[in-house]
Amino acid sequence: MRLIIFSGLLCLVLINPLAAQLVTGTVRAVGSGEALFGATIYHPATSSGTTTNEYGDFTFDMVGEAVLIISMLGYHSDTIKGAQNAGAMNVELQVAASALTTIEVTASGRRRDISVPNGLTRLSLQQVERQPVLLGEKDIFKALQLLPGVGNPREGFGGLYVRGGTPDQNLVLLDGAPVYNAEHLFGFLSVFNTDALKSVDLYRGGFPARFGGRVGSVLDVRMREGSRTKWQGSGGIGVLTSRLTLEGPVGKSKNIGVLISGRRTYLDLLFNLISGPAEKNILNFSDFNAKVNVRLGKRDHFYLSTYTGRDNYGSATTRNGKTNKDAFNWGNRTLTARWNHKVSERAFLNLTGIVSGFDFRVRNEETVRDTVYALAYQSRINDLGLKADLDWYLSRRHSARFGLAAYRHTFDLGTVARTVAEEADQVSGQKTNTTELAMYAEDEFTPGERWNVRYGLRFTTFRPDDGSEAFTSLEPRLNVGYRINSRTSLKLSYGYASQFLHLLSNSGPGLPTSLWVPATKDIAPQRGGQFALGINSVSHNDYWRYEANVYYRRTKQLIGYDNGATFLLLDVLNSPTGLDRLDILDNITDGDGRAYGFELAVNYQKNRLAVNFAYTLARAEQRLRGVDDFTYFPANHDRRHDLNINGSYELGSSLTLSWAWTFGSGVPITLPLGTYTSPDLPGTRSTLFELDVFASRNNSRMPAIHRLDLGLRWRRTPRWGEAFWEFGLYNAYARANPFFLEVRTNEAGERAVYQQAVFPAVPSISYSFKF
Amino acid sequence: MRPVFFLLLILSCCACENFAGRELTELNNDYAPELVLFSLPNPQDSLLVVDLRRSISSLGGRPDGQGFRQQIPDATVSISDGSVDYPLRFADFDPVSGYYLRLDSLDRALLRPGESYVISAEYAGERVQAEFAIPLDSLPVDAAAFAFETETQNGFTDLWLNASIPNLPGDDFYLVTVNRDTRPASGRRREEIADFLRGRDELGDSLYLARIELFEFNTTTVRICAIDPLAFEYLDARATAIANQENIFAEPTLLPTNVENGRGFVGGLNCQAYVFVR
Repeated sequence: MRLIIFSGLLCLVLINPLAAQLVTGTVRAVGSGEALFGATIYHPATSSGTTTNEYGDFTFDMVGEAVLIISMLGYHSDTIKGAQNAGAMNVELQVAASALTTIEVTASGRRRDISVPNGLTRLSLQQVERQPVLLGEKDIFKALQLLPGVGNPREGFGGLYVRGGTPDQNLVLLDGAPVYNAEHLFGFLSVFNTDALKSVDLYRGGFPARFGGRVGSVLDVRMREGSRTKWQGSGGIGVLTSRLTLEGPVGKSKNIGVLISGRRTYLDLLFNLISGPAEKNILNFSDFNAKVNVRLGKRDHFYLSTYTGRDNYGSATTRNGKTNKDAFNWGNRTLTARWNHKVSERAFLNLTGIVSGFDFRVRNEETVRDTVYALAYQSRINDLGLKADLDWYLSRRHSARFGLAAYRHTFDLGTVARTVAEEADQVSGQKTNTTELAMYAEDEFTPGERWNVRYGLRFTTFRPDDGSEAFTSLEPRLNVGYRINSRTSLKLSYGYASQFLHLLSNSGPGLPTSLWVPATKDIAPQRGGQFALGINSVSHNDYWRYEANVYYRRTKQLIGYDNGATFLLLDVLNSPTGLDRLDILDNITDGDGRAYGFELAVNYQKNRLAVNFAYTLARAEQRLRGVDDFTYFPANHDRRHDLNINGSYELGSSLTLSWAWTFGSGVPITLPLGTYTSPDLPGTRSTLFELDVFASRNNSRMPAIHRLDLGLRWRRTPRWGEAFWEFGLYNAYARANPFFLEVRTNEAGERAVYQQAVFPAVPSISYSFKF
Repeated sequence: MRPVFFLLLILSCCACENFAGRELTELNNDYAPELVLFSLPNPQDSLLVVDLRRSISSLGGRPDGQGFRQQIPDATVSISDGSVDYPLRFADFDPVSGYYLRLDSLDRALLRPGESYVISAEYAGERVQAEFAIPLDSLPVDAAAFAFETETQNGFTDLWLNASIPNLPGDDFYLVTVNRDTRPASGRRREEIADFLRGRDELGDSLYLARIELFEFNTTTVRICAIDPLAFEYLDARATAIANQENIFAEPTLLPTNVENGRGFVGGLNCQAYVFVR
């Protein structure tokens, strides 16, 4: 009923015809012809504007002077005069040679755009290329961690903890397909190869109704389309990985463009060089991206993109005729087919088919005299989805979007197999299928020059096939922008969402033993809301930009780790008799979470210098049934102060110095207060256990971390294109930042807390090129 | 650039050179040691045994003397049924180490299923106590089913005992202990916990115990005990804590306690014993 009332209200509001000149067009990049998503079309006469959709298209009702300013992060802006006579415009923007842009979406100066949703950040991929990072491996997750409100409790690793949320609460999309484990190398790098990407949008909160299924944030990653005009490429050779991307037209019609990109590590080659012949290590990951875009006429476009990536880790040792093999491997795969149809000058239709999957396997194998004893553990999730989205530009005041989506999730949990003498013995397995249906409606309403209101509603049902009751969710979304004056605006957002998939994993670094499981009657869906209020401002000379936000979020039914929970299953693997009783759900518990904080971003940019300052004051807490009497305790990633100061300076036409200084107060850790001994049974003297006394979970904090990273980029311009030598120094002043703490015996024979640091000052060199 | 290099130099001097492990003296805790009480009274036993120790701070030295590894010998320990306090005596010789009370020398029915008792201990001005109840024996007499299995390896034959008990409706909690005594009897008590079981409807008609090896020339006593859910929770958490001692990826285990002003656990058992001689 609420849905019907909402639809009625929406229709009433949308009927608002105005006599205006309709301007339509497409914004593309010069050279590659890449459609630019999110380019700003600004109409100075009315201080209004719009942005391009995912395919670079825009529609705008223009009243007054026919001048439009087209701009996009990382590109030179363009001013179009006489736009009312231009018909369907094809605007091409030149890539800015000097990409000294901030990584914040801040429609600059007088063009400040209140229509950018509160909490949305669009990464500048040029800026990502310049940032100094560990071993010179550029990564969008590392760049996102420099933003206010985005943190990471472990140094050098890439998990995204957005506004007090955990990585499983982030919806990570690659060309619209969910990526279930977006990390390589136990979280050291993300699965996204920067060379193959077109745009990276992070919604820290208040995301539009078109997105759903996660209670935290949305990371919307788009792959490059593949140039339809000329062949070009890019690549690089680094300490850890090498990569190559090629794109270009197929055929002479220039209607088909393709992109192929690959990346691989060679860590295992290095490891095997230093290990002996009796030991062989596997330690690698690889990524492959491909995309085809086909222009089917003036109104139709077809896209097919795929990603597949896999991590393989393991070791094999042979001693005394016995061979032991241990292996972890996991991988993601996505396939997106999309048909984009221009229904009219005001309406765009997208039909999208999605296939996505993630699986991991853990295998322990022992071979003695040709007899194999093996234990394997694996988990899979596969998605099949179909989506329809209609963008409907109704008037200068209303731009609506409607959509339907259907997903089929298939879960294959915890299959354990024992193999003796090549005979497989399937011990246990649990397969579950679920159907998820969603519909949404959004409207961007511009009641006047000072106001911009985005509101929407999403309705989702989630039904397991086992006959259990379906879950439903009605999710309102609101984003309001108010321009106080030409330089300052206020923004407010609220969003409510439900999450029907839970990620079960332990609190260690991104281990592959993470299980995605559906909500059931035993594990209800997570539900959460977030409220945020922000203010943006820009200085009179446009050099300084400021953004401040406060947020508060609550989450119900979040999944937590029970006392002593571990998902490594070492004990089970070592004790086959324990397999029958393995119950994953016994390891988890549920509860609530709350997080609130203050974010401040200050950006300075003038001539050759760019500096970004980001500070977060935050608190994230949880309470779990069965832990600490269901009282709130600090979450594992609760970092009170997080400060990042980064930037770059062009020393000349070919040299750029970049830096990033990071400070973070200590994250919580559970340390024992006391210890006592206990016999196995009272009165016995054979075994005496030492047991730790903990006051509460996360009762202590690690020391603070701080670090300076430096990078020097030397640009060369050979005849065939551009080349870059990059020299990096991670942790330049060799600060020993704690990676984990442990209690152990010191030289005096006393128990003491020790911190273990991982990364000293690490120099790096890499080479990259574009042609 | 000189200020930058100067700053780097200053920061490098402040940096820690020890990456492999630096002792953090600033994280000392002010934990006050507590008395630790541990007992699992069982009405079928001839002895009631209480283990009394003292905890220490997790940081600092480990005392070798009484209290931490050895029991506190000179405390006052008693059990009360609400009307009478029965004092326990300390012994540190086989077959028992700890505070004990011979149940048959007083009233054999001192511990009665379904009734509550309090064990208390006083030492050096500290007093701890724990209330517990003897659970009702939910299993029918002789309800356990046994089967034997042999395995021959390298010319030796191992004999294993497989056992199951009925899975009764609702939640029931069991503790399984094994005591192996050589023949002729050594007099030493070598009893240990063999398994925990939590009966649940979804587990089917039977609960299967971890299999138990029967050694030659041994008398093996298997006891299947009904146990209070809170005591089960304590023993289960303790087993988890012990299993995770080398697992850095495991969540810490917070051990519950029912001991007022102290640590440890006192929980009643109600056992059925089965004796196997090989």
